[in-house]
Parts: sequence; structure tokens; C-alpha cells
Amino acid sequence: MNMNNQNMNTRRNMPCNQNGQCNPNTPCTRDVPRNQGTPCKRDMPRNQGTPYAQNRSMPRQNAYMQDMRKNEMNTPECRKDCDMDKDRRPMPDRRMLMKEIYQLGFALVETVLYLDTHPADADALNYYHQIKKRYHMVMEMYAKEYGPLLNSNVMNENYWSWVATPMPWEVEGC
Amino acid sequence: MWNYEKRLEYPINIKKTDPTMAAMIISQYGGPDGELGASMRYISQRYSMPYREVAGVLTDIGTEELAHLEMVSTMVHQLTRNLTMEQIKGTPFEAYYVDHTAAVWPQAAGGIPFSATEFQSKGDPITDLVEDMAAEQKARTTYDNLIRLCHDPDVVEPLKFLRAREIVHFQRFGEALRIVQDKLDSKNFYAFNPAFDKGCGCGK
Repeated sequence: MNMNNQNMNTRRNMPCNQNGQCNPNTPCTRDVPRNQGTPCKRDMPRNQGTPYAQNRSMPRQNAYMQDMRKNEMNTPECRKDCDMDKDRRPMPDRRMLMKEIYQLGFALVETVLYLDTHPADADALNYYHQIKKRYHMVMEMYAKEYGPLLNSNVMNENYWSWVATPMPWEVEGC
Repeated sequence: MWNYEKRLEYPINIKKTDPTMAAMIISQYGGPDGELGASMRYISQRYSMPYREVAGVLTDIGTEELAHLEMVSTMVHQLTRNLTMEQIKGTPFEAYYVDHTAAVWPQAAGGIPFSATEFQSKGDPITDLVEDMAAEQKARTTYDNLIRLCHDPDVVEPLKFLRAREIVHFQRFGEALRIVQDKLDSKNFYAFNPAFDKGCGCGK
């Protein structure tokens, strides 16, 4: 979407972080605010993102501060290494994601019923496998960001969110 | 066995309450041709189906009917939220309110409680599948009648979805019947009951 790309470019050109006090534990301010301060992938070795400093022996903070002094607005190394675009795409709106889950879930139900009485239909089988992949992906995205849809996949480790999100029959529910 | 996703099969968001409509729609929950009966019918019949395609389709459609009865209950619940006594008095919902307040309980629109006598599980594949096809048509007609009674698009859209599903289920049961017939003697389908008679050579 065009609007998203524009936002991405604007963010990339913003000064990265708090006046050169780049701290791997502080969320990169260029990141989407909605991500609730998830650290920029460049700074988290755990995320297997491209390491910010290619030369690991050189202390990261120093390399970064040198770049900052060079050019406040555009940190060349920042742009080169940052796989932010790929890894931190803005999460789709909850309603849009839910709508896709309804559509894919229904396509699955319908295909399963058809395959029950036509188990050798190759086209139907192909269709099933396509839908299945996308469905699982979208279900996982929703569960990570918005709340559990299956009690076998509750992500919150501090509270049983299964009983905290609205029930489907409530007007605010799905 | 059953796991579930924490969502409806089709979104329902009814903004305007209507206890009269709720008293009618409840027939598709606990009525003679409602989703509870459909689900119990298919889930009961599946055990005596000697062919896995047929047992599979009965289980999967029986499961979808559970999702439908959830939708119908949700509609009844949303149509009867926050009612005042003036909204209840003089409507067909009044008698139901006396016994159930604004709870959901399986009965027909006429008040007859749900009962297993509203379905059969006969233990003969042809008999059972023909009953299932009839059940889907009865449900479709009931939805036709409900849609004619209703003008709120928030209510009509889920009813239209449910009605369309009944037609698809009818189609699937027809195919299941064909599968059973294909496995029987084409000169006499009634020569024996493949669910019961021993040595029938059924493909289980």
C-alpha cells in the first residue's frame, strides 16, 4: 500500500534514537509506535537480524556514535543493515485480520466437506493445501498480536488471556 | 473430539433488540428442524455408517451444526439484551421470559422443548441419509420463513448464510447416499443392511 511505503521512508530518515545514546535495550524510536516498543531488529542479536556492526570486535555503541556524529539525519550503516522493512511490517488492523480469518476458515470448512465426498479430487486437494497454509499463518499473526483463538495456543505467559478476551457472542466479540 | 476456535462461524452484531424475533428464531436452536436436532442426529448416526467417507461427512457436518446452534443462540441473546418490562409485555417472548428470563434454552417457537424424538438414528445407511436430506430441507424452509418475518439486515444476513449452508449440506448428503449405493448391489439396494448384517463385505 502506498501510504505504508511513505511512512516507512519517513521513519527511515528520522534520526535514529536518542541523540546517539544508542542502547540495544531501548526500543528504536523509528519503529512503529504500535509495536509497543519492540526493539529494532538491528540491535537484538537474539532476533537473528543482520548485526548492526559487521565487525563484531568493534564495540557497537562506538561505531554507532561515530556514524551519528558524521550525519545526524541519515545514518548510512543504519539503512544498509536495517531489515526493519522486511521484519517489522506494520501489523494489519485487527478487524481486517479477523475478516481474513473468517473467510479462510470458511473456505476450509467448505473444502473439507467437499473432500469428504470427493476424496480424490486433485483440484480440491490443491485448493485445500493453499488455503490451509495461509489460514495457519493468519491465525498465528492474530494470536501473537491480539489474543488467543485456540486454547492450545495461548501466548500470554503471565495471565490466562483465554478468559480475558470477549466471548464471540458479545457485541464487542468476533 | 472437539476443539473450538474462539469466534463464530459468521460474524453477528445485532444493534437493535427485538424479543418477538428472538421468540421465533429460537426454533432454529431447539425446534423440530433446528440446529441442535441436526447436530445430534448426524453425530448419533455416524457410528453405524460402515463407510469412512460417510462417517466423515456426518461428523464434519454435525460439527458445523454445532457452530450454527452457537450462531442461533447468539442471535437470541443479542436480540434480548437489556430489555425493559414494556418491551417484553404483550410480545410472544413474554411466556419464555417467565421461565427463562433472558437466558437461552432449547425450545421451539411454539414452546415445545427440544427432545430426541425430533430426530432419528435408525442404523440403516440409506434410511439415515434420506432422513438427513429431508432434515436439511426442513431447516432451509424454516430459514425461509424466518427471513420473511424479519427486516433488520443485522439479523437477515446471518439467517441467509445459515439457509445457504443447509442447501450445501443437502448436496453433501446426496453425494454420501450415492457413495453408499455405489457400494451396494445395483440390482437391489435393500438386499441387506450394510451397517448390521454380518459378512456383508462392507468397506470399513
